[in-house]
Amino acid sequence: MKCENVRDLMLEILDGESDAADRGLFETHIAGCPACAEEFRRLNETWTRLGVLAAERPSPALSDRFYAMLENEQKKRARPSFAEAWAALRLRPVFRFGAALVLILTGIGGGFLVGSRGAAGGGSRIESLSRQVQDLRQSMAETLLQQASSSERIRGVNTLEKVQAPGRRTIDALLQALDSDPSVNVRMAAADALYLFAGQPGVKEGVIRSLSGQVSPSVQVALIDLLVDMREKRAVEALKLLAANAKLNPDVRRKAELGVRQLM
Amino acid sequence: MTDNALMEAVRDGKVEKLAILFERHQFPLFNFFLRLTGNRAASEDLVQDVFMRILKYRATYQGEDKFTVWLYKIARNAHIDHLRKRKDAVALDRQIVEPASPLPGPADRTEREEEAALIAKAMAELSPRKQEILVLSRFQNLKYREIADLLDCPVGTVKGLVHRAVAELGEIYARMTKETCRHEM
Repeated sequence: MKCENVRDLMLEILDGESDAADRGLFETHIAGCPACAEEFRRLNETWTRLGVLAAERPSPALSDRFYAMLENEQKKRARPSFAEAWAALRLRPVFRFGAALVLILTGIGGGFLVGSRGAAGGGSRIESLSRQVQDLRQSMAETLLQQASSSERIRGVNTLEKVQAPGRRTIDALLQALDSDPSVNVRMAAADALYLFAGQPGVKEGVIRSLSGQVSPSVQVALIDLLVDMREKRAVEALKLLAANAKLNPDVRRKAELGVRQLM
Repeated sequence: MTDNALMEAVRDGKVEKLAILFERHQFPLFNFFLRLTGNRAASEDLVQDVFMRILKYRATYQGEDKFTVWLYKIARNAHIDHLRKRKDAVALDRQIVEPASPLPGPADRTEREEEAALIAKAMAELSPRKQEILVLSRFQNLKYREIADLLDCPVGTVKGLVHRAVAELGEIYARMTKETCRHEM
């Protein structure tokens, strides 16, 4: 193998794009060619050094902007396109005045009819498309909640927060994160998200139930605050139990006592 | 579902499928722009711009190219337009890349952070073409054949350019390391 062929192979070797046969020829060549061996050593050093440039994450604002744009696009598509109908009308050949007049009047009348039908159908299309985006958001959030990294799971919780008109599935996913996520930060994020959905069935009951199973003082305090903010009187008994539990963190007990007084 | 199948669905009216493509490609695209501009806000704007263009030009998607090749063609055009729009644009080869995330002062930096800052600065000294081709081959997970399709040139030209870019980067980095050592002495 000639030096120029070996030079062509160097990048493929670095990139892992070469096959076993080429690698064999390459290694044989550089074993006997100090110039190529030195050149490869230098390339390899720089190529490897580039690995210190870690990948960065964009801010969550990028995701928000993208989904806003997508929803706008869907709404736009669902609207009756009067402009298109008008443009089409203008292109029609009009040779006789009478025929043209009839055509225009029919066109405008028809346009309004189609428009009104389109508007009615458009509404349901917007709903359907919006539902699809919401479903997608839900599925994405569920995938994120399964990830090993707690920052990914927090992103999952934040994504669930944005689900409009959450159903049982969203609430259950948040309650499950609150109950069993190993990270305190994820559980706190789930508590914040549930506050937004306080009016949904099962949320208040779920938070009261979860409070008794929490062991982290910061999550316990966050949930007490949450129940007080929700004005959830059914939590009083659970708070009394916490206040009376001598094994608990004194701050949590004080917070529970205060919560009982605020809710009574 | 493959990227190509998703993009065909978007083209045929299922625009909501674009969300899956966004989730798959927003991070690599963001990093592509970040390495070229050194600016987080501009890079986020550019990613948004790319997806707006995809929606706008979706009807032109033929499905013959691999989706990522088409995607990066759009990304390159967005970046070129971005540079043209910036009245105070500094040529890429003279731009000093800001650290993508705020780095501590030199005294507090770890050795790895120092190395990252220096290699980013060295990359900014390459010509825009070499910088771009290096980012595409080293970080964007594209094969040389795909980069050649993207840049519309022979594979051999791509390999030659990448080879020269890496060699030149090594030399710039070595020079900068020497200069840094001199300053510290």
